[in-house]
Amino acid sequence: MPAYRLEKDTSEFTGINVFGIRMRHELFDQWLRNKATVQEVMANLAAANFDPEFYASHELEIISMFNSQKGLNVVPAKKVWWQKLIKSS
Amino acid sequence: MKSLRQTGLIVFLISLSIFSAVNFTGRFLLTDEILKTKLSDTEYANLKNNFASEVLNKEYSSSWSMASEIIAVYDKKNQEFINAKEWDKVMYTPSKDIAFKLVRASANGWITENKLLLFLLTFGLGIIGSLMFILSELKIHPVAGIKNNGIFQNASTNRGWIGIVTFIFLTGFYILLYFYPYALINSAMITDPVKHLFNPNENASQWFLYGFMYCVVMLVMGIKMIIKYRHNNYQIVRTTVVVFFQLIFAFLLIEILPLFNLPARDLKSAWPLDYTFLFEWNVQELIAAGHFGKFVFVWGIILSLVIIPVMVYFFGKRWYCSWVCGCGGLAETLGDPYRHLSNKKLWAWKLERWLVHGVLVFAILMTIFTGYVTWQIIKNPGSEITDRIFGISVYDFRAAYGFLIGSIFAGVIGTGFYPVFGNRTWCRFGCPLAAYMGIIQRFKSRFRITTNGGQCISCGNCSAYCEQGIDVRAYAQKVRILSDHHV
Ligand code: SF4
Ligand code: SF4
Repeated sequence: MPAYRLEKDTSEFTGINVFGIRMRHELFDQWLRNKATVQEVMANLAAANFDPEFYASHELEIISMFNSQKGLNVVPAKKVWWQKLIKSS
Repeated sequence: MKSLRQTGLIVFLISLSIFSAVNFTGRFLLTDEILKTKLSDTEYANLKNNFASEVLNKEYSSSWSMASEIIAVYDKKNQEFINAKEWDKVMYTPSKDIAFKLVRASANGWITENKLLLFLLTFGLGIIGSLMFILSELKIHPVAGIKNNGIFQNASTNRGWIGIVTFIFLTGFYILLYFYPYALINSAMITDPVKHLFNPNENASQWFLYGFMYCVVMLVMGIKMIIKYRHNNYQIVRTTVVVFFQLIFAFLLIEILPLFNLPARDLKSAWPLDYTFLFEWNVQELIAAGHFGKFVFVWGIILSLVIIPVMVYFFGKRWYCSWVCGCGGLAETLGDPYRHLSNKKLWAWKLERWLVHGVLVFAILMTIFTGYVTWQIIKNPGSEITDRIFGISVYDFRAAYGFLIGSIFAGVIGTGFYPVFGNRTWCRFGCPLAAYMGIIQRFKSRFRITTNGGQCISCGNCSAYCEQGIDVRAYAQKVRILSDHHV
């Protein structure tokens, strides 16, 4: 479960500790600058993954844990199968 | 555990010494019977008297000494024909091949009687010793993750004396294999028990020996690779796949296809790396081999012109170089301990681009010329053909390619120089397929190696361990994609 920091009232995302999952620097930079909400970050966690192919992905677990702790209902943004196939990284 | 490791190393070295030393011994006796069965009728008629007076029924104690005399006789006879301008009598089989098959058939004595024992003492012991060495690593470094500690202090990986000895050994092996194969006849004979599993009536050639060694080395060093990168799923999958391609396509199929009277071809080997694709013997053999042969021919064209570009478009050239190719496979297994020795200087990168594209141009020209000759031969069999283009003989041109690029660059330098120049020397500086894929990747590919934003702390690890000699750090510091070449 990543530790995340948010402003209590606005849900603004202010930082993250990802426990060894490599994450895209640019995407977080953008989220921080645009004051994205934690919900938005959580929903798009998979897009921020910078691990090589064939690494186990934990996004779904993280999101469901987040939902159950916060009583929220964040749905991960879906990728179409062919987008996964040609995901360039 | 340290002692297990050392014992493994000693066992391995013993097996390697036996493997090398057998070639200095043996008993070889050439008889008229052998000459008759091994030579063609004209060769036999041409040579029998000369052989009778010089080599026949004389006992030799090494393959080298017998082969040298056979070659001397053969060359002398050929020279006589040339001097007398008797062109129809001149023999074109390379002398080293004549020598190889005659000496091979002349072998008798303890090595021929103890092949299986010797096989166990060389390959058997070698595998056991290496595995002891490799597996003990799991106990010595129980925590998964890269450990390059001491790599620049170790004489085997810092171009120290062990590296130099390894370099001399590897280079020597390749020189013998390509140019003096008869020196390795006893080593080849040791692999007969394996060859006979496929075909009891055929003995192992130097190429069987090489192919078998290649597989054994890739398997054993592949295990080492997987242990070293066991924290990394990508490397585990990739290493398994590349070893699989070698075992199935470059070895098993090559041995099995001829049993069904089908041409032995490595279906993953693509032009221009496979430079013999349009040679007339290749095309003729494939056309003569029925549906399967034609399929192989068409497949070769589709592989080079369709599959490779499409795959490079989606996945980058790594799909071939680190997942499929045999040369890449050896570099990633046997060569992995030397990955940091590749040169990252700017001049090396400039030289690389000149050389690799130069080889590509050479390969394309050679293929066009050869293809033209082949086309004439196939179209009008038996008629006169033009085999000179711009005053150069096509056969000389392609022989030059085979010698300079196929043997010296790809083999002797490409692999022999692992301990000196790193493990991707041929791939960086010479491989025409890499040049071809590189052009596609640069201009038309979804695949890019990127750095992850501005996180570089300039530690230099990436550049130091990039086997392809890419100065990754220079790109990372500038937050650049690795294929905009503007360092
Ligand atoms: S560069 Fe050429 S030889 Fe090296 S792995 Fe790629 S295709 Fe094979
Ligand atoms: S990009 Fe290379 S030099 Fe920069 S921090 Fe990573 S490994 Fe070190």
